Amino acid sequence: MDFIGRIETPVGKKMLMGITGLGFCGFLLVHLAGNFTLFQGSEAFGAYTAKLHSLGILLKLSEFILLVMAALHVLTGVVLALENRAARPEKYQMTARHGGRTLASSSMIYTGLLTLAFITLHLIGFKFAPSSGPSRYPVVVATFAHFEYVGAYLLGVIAIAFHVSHGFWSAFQSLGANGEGGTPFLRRCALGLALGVGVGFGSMPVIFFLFQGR
Amino acid sequence: MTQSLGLTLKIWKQRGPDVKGALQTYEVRDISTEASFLEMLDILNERLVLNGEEPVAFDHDCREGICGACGAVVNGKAHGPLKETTLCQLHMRHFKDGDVVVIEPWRSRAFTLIKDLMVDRSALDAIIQAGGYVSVNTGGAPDANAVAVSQELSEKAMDAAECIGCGACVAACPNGAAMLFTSARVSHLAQLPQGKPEAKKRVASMVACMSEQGFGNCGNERECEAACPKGISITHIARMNREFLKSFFK
Amino acid sequence: MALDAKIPGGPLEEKWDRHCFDMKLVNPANKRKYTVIVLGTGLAGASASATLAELGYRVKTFCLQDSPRRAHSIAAQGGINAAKNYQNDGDSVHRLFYDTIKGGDFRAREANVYRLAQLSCNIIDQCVAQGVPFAREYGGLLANRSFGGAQVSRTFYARGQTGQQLLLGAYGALSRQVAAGGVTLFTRREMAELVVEEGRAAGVIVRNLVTGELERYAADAVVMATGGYGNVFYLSTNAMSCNVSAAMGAYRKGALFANPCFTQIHPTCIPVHGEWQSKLTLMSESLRNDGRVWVPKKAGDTRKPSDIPEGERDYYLENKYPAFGNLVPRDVASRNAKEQCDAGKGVGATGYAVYLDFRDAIVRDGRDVIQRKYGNLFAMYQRITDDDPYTLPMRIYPASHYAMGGLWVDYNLMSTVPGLFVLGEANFSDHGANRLGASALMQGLADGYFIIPYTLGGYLADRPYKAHTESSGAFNDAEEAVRQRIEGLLNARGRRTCDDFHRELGRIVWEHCGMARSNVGLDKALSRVEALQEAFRQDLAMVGTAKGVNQTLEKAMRVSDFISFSKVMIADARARQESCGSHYNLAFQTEDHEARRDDADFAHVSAWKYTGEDEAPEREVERLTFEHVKLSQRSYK
Repeated sequence: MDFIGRIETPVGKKMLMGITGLGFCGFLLVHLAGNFTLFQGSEAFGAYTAKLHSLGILLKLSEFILLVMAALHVLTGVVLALENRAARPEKYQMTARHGGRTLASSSMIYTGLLTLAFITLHLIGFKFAPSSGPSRYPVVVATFAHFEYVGAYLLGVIAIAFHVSHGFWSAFQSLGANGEGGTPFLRRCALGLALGVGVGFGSMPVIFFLFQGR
Repeated sequence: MTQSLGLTLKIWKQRGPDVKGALQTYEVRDISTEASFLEMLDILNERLVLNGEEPVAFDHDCREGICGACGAVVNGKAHGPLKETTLCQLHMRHFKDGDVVVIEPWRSRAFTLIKDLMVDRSALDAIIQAGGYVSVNTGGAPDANAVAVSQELSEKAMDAAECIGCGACVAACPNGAAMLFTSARVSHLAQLPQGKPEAKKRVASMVACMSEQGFGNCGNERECEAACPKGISITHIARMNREFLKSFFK
Repeated sequence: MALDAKIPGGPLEEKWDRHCFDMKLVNPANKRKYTVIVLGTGLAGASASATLAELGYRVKTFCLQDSPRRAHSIAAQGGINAAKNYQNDGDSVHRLFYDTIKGGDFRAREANVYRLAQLSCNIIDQCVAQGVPFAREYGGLLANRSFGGAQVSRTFYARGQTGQQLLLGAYGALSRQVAAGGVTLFTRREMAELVVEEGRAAGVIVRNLVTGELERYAADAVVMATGGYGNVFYLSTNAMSCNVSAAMGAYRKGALFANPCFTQIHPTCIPVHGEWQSKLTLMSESLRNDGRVWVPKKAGDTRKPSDIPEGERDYYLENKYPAFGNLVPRDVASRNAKEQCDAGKGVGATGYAVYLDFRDAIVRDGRDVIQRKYGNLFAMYQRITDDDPYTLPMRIYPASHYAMGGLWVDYNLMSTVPGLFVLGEANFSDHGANRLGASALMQGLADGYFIIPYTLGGYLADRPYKAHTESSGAFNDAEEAVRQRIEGLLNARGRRTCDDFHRELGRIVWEHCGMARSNVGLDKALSRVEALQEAFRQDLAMVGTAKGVNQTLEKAMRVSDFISFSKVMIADARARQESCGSHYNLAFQTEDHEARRDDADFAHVSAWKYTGEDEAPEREVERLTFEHVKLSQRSYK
């Protein structure tokens, strides 16, 4: 079996999901750390974005990699979900949980699609928003002044948190990096990360909405 | 203490793979709490035969939880409500008088329904045929003590080797995946020195066979582990994934 | 017909090697021209299928379950013997040979048993190479335990699932050959008729259990590995589908049935609870290594076990057999349990149980040690009975477990029908009147891995290829016979279920042809079985048709054969006017109530010949000669 053939197997596809998913987890952490400068005011945030943009080609490359990862993650995820659906053509009349399934694990495709929708809006709203000055700080302030934006944003963040709470440990499992008895530890890590991401990103719209960016 | 129960059974009845099936309701009375679940079905079937009705077809054989022949989804759970217990070892004392019990066959695209609760699980055999063995012919094996295997390793291999091939993992998996079954064999053989020489080839072809047979993909939802009557851990899935990763490199 | 076991000449130690050399070989290029049918995929059938395919034969393998891995060998718990002497405790091929012959109460062939002991070592090597995860010591070498009363540690084991692991090894080898194209696998097929053409096995008619169709398969040889007949007792430790039909099919076509009265009743099973019970569960007799068997001294004592003081307990095995104590062989342990219960000292709700108590072992070794050794067995016991064996003594009672008797085979494992080979529990060959613990797995695998590959070649070397075709008259007749039998059963519109007949049959043979027998009882049993057979023909309740899945019909076909078989079994028990091993006729006992053999008149194999459905079978005799062991009274004092 060749390389592509291996990737196309159930395990190969899950590995692809795992690698790209872990990449996004890393991105989320970097993004979160950067965005905390929002709390230090317009100047700090401006300095951070300027620094980022000064990376030039490196930034473009990272963005390109993120885009490719997103394409792979989304496409593979959708393929997996469709295959899984087809793997049980006749449904059970009565279903019950055996003790492994969680809300997060059972809703990965939905939280994933919500995340995709959220990121699209997020990119349109912030990254590609027409901006009057060099800093996007005013865009953030303006956006988070609206209750409906804050609501949608929070919904997206919650989706991401749920997705991460299963996806993070699941990636280790899919990549075979889960050793003997490692599952509880990894699941706690995933929960921690999900909380961090959820509270971290969730705090921004809430605080900006309440305090108008201080 | 022995008591007797009356139950309402809703059992999936389907004459064959190409006809529609439906849940059919049966009432049973005076079932001893000491009886096993399959004995309860025996009692029902004897009554049906006496009434000239078709009995419920179901697979079963050893009735001591080791052959892996029996299995049905009982009230949504593969092998019923009791942990690490096959259907044949589930006793009626775990039910209450008046309970409604829904009994359905394993459902998966890879398991064609034969009749009622009987399904064709030869897809699992196909996965083993794809490489779930050590390629040694009879004769010519070296002395059994020629290769030392640490007790720890041997025990870990045995943990995986306990799989009875019942298919509950597939039935319980929300995605109808056969990962736990496949990984149990891969993990058993990959850990032992005897299984190492062809470990890469084995895992690659067994994994490929899973999707050819029509099983779904792993969602790491751990339902398989929770449903497994032998308590086989998803650690073995991780090991299979690791072995699969190794197979990328020559 | 004189029964010639075809035992090769020469010294005992060299017989097999010489014989292997003397047998003709089939040219490797010609092996693929021969088709071999293997029926059954237990240890014997799976190992034979795999090995024959490795050699190049075209193998067609059949099993009645949905997968070859389900065969009942999978349920063997305790272990497998081999004369490796890894423990340096004085074991040897000769000792294993001697123990097996003696354990079988001198009713097995010396040459066969010696070969078995020799091959035992190869089996372990083979299984380890396949990746069977046998228990190991800290140093990484294989662990052994003493088992079933053996005084050396020669039993290899994989937790309490040795049979499972060995079968999965053989199933792996079989699967490999299926993938390679050497074996064509037919699952959910049950043999309905053996086809005999010009006096030779020519193939089989099988019933497809999914479509209901009858299918024909021709072959140059037929290998039957279809297990034992323990389910004749209805309640047994066998799987539900274990049956005697294939063996009876061969018997009706001229294969002799040898020693059918030798059935092993295993002492440590979970007792019967009620009428609806479908099977009995065995617990490994390794439990007897630490558990103490006892009953209350007073008959009819209904106190809780914990309320019965030490002085009022009868540790009857320890008292009666000080040297072996709780570890006496299975037949002795079973018979003693029955004696105690018959004397009114039985415990539990039915009075048909004795205690197996771990209290002292837990005090001595600690709960942890006991849990490590027997945890899974204790869990199984608790799951079934809802009692906690750590605090309450287990209740155990004997149950039908293994059939030492089976189709008669010669040294080559060939039956009296040329071209029909019989392996594993289905043949009668190696265990005599009583099988020792951990010897069944050894025999099944020796037959399949190491004997049939040689002896089958010896048979085929002289045979033309493809001598039989599926369109021949013999196949037509055989299929027609099956069709008629099925129609006869399907036309039944009586009022008793198949299980009901089977239960009654079980009660009759358990009562009169079980652990203790008498001439009066056996005669009574025969007439009761005859009446039952008549009732079966008149009053069977049947549903469904011949097409598609019809589990009621499957059952009826099997029960019908069990009824016919029980008559042969009873006849055999009646004819053997001695006691030996598992066959215990009350009229023949020593002063200590042990089995009293009659070596002058009965040191032989009784082999029964079919003479017609309602005719009494004819007995033929193969004399057993013992040149290397001295016949002695078994004593476990």
